[in-house]
Amino acid sequence: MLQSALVGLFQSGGAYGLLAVCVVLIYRTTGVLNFALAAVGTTGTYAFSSFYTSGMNLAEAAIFGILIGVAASVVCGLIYIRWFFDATPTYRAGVAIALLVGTAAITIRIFSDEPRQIPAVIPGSGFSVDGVVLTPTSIAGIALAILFTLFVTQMLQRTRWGLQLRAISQGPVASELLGLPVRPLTLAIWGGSGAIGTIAVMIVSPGLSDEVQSISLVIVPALAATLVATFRRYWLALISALILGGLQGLLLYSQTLIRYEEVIPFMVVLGVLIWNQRRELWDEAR
Amino acid sequence: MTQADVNGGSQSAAASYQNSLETGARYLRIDRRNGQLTALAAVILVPVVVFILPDYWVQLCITGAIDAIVLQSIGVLADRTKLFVLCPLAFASIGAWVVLQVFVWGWPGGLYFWLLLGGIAGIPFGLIMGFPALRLRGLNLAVITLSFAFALDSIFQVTPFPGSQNYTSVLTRPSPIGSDRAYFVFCWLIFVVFAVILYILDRRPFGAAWRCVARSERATAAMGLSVRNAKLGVFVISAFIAAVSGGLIVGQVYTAVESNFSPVASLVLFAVALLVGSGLAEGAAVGGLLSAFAPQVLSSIHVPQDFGNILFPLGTIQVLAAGTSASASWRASFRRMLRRRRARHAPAPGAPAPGTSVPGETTAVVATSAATAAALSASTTPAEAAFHTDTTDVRVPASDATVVPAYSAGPVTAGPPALRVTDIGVRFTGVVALEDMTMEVPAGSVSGLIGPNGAGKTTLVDVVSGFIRNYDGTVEVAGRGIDHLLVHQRARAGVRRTFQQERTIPELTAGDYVRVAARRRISAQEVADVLEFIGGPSPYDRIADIDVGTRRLLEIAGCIVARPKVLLLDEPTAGLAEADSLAVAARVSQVPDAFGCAVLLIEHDMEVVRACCSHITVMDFGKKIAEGRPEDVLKMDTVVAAYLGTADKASVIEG
Repeated sequence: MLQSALVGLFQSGGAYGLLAVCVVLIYRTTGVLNFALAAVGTTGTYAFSSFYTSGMNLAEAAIFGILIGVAASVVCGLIYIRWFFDATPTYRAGVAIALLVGTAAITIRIFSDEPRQIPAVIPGSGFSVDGVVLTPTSIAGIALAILFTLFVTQMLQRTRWGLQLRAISQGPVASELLGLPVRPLTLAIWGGSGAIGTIAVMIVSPGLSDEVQSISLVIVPALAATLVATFRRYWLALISALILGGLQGLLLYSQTLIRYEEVIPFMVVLGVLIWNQRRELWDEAR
Repeated sequence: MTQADVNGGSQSAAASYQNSLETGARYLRIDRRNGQLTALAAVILVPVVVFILPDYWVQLCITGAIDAIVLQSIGVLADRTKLFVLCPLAFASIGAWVVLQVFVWGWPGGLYFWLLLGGIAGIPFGLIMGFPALRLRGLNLAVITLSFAFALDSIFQVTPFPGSQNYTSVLTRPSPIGSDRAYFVFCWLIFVVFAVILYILDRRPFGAAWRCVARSERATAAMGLSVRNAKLGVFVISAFIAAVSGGLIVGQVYTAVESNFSPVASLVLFAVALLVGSGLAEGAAVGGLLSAFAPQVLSSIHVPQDFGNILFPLGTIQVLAAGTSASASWRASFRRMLRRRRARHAPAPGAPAPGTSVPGETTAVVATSAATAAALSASTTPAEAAFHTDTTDVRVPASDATVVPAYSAGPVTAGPPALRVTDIGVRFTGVVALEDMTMEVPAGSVSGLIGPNGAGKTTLVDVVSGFIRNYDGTVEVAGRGIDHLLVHQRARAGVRRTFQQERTIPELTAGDYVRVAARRRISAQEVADVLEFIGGPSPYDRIADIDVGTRRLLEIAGCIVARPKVLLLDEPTAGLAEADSLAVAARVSQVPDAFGCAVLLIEHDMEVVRACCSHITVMDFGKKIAEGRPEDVLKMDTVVAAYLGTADKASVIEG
């Protein structure tokens, strides 16, 4: 049973963690709950797969794929900066949902939705520890998620850019009036998130069904983890994502239950929200 | 300005207001008739057109009608309560599952009854989604509903819909709706029925409460409306509508497969709903048409069908950037067209007088306020500023120009105090916000509560109105303890309040707002009277078109029409120009006489306080530091020091 959980944790926990921490970062710095992050990652991953099958070597294909993901994410960022700089979080979420649908449709249009085998970004057959098979990609996913979380938290706490980003997260317009480079920094966050989104999808997609729309919805468990972290806390988002991966893995224990693994994020979200009901929250301050 | 001038001005203003009421009522009738005739024409014409279309197009029309129903279910939530629910097709899949299951079980009743069962089966799931939304909103809700769609989709991937694997028996439609054309008419009628029900609900307090929730949950509760019931109600209705649409899909194709209800399909429809503004019936109808026909139209011009999924989101982004949906802008154009026609055909004599209002047009503060403000200004000069030591009583006489409604309750001065708070204490994580606060608001009086910023005045109002639950001490309204009551229950028990920022509902008309706030049946005359009392807008004016000063007065009207025991006004003149402040002061001072309720006025403008209040309480650092008649209290050294530090009194007076 523990082995099942570990398999799940390694199979998808790392990717969920990368996506979740990235969603928190974008939300805290730009106010956008980015439903489209995995869709953008899917675009990059499909580009990577196409480059690879057209004869490029694995590393080059991965780099170009990531760059496509970065470009797609920057386009999303430009839309927000141009039209939704002052919009409310709910409005921005509405835009993100439209971007999810649009990005998935564009990906299908460019790369087609034909079944394809997404290559493992780090080749190798992996090894078994006490019955649990660990692939190089899954280990790299977990390591990357931890490193990325460490990087984000340290960068925000200890660097000048981090300070500026924290100021922007509190009030973009006020920060702009202080002379901070709000738009370039925001775009940098969007670009970076495109790269992380692509890497996360590259890690998780070999184990998923091969439809663009299904892969784009890998954002759902990541969003569940960010919700547990109240859209604010990076390490809690990572840990929740890893636990979610582990919980899904637990279902591997049963042939019947594993088919319902996608119910887990909903159950977790429902549980967390009901728990949060204890607090009486009104809509706004006086 | 003489009293005769004032009286003359008020009579002319009253006549002008009456004139505006009659004009507004006439135009409203015309607008409603035009709207209803247009809608009726559409209801009849659409099936007529469909009857002459080729069979293949009829199938698409059925899909369009069903999509329009799904869009209605999204619009109920997204447009009215601004809650994003991303799982409409998940609710639909539940309806589809139930219809197929009862068919497989061989239940009697046929499709008509099964559809109803399917709709009812969606309700518990709507409640499950609605429960987390009771106190949390926005993004949390979007995430849980998308997770729900994702989860249900995975379940239906591994657990096929009943009867969809072995086609030993196939669901059939009852003979009256057996043909595709008849089935389209059936779906269309269901759409129309939902549209009519939603139209009616929008005009009742139950439906208007949804828009209140979207604007401000605090204000909703403070009006005595239950936020919980409003939210759960809207989820129940939305889930029911969506689940019925699922049953209709089964009726169309005789079975169901998981891909009909995928989460991404839900998101596409959600994007379409934002694009067209599916809270309005015409928006939902056009949205259904778009989603069903766009692929065919695109392929007919040799554009791949999946371009629709690129174009819809682009349209949605454009609409969100513009801040108004397609259907809302159509309605605005329709109104403008009617107004232009009206302007062309309106007879010169009997036309509304300048300064009066016509539905849909911007309204200025009405003359009665100005007349009363002028009366006040006549007795109070700007030189008589804050902390004036002159003891002249500047309270507004009851015989002033304001209209006192015919149904006036008259002052209530006997009996227990309207409000009594005793030994109230509040602590916020170590900070003492209120300590041993005791005060009374006598029945039939206007009392003032003043103090520097941070003194605890609004905290006290939050305690009395129930927004702060953890406090020491007791709160009594007209002798009855209300400490155990929730916010909306306190409002119903006789505590009404306003907020520092006005929280009226821009989508409603002034009259509808007053009706919602009253929480009881009131006549059109009563609505007109209370609006006239505040010297405010016509009942037919949209609040979005009214200036902020008048909205403040409208909020007060909403409170007093409910006949509370005590009205708590939290800085009602904040941010208003002097003339508007004095107009508000004039109305407030007459509330006890006109409506029989006491008023507790929190105010920084000492001129307003002196004009309104017979008794004031001064707070500083969460404690009461003085109380008594304004002219005595405002001279006290402790009060001056609380406001202005330790500056010497002489300089304050001179300043």
